[in-house]
Amino acid sequence: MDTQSLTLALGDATHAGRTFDVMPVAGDEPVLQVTVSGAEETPVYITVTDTQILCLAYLFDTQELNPERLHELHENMLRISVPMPLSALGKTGDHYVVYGALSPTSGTAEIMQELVTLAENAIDLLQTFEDYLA
Amino acid sequence: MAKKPDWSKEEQAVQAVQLAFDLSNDIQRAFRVSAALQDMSTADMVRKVLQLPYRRARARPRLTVTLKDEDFELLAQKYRLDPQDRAAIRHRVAEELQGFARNYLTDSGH
Repeated sequence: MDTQSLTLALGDATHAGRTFDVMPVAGDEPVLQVTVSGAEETPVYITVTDTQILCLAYLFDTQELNPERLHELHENMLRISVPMPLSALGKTGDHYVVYGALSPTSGTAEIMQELVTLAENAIDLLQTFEDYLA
Repeated sequence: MAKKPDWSKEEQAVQAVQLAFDLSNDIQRAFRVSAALQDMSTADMVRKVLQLPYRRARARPRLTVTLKDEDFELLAQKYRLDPQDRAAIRHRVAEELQGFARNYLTDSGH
């Protein structure tokens, strides 16, 4: 699966009543921005490498957080990351992210399930960790 | 920590997503700001750039705020008014918003 075939596959597909709005983002490496219907506030970014399909949604930045409660937030993030379906929490640069990785041989159905779950998890996480924002 | 495995390709992919996120944030901000300056909705601004039909300006640009019961409570405390006296609270809200606008639009000619 590459980003081009993914763009075509997602554009016409529905999964669990959700549709997908796909926007390729210009750059050296192909990245797609996918908006899942019903979860428009948390777009998911997808990139495909030889070893994985990486799906990632952005939550908040370090500077948005209350520094005094950072340790407590990290502790809670690590704990919630394990039971959270199909996703894990991490950090890239200053951004806290929720992400899911799939095998590059995954089919469209698995990818759509990941996208829907990830976008919903991102919304739930934003609500869960609201109190830690400065 | 022992030697890190070589995940440079994956690191590059993460970096690419990061750039994509920053770029789309910048683009969104540009559209929101330019739309506001031209009294248009962001969706219409996108249509204008794409040279698709769009509404030129909002027919009646309105400023609305929906106040909930707890908002009236908070505002009543702030203005030292009776929370039941919603007309008075609304009046003070209007005054405060006008005050903000007057300070903000320093070059409005008023």
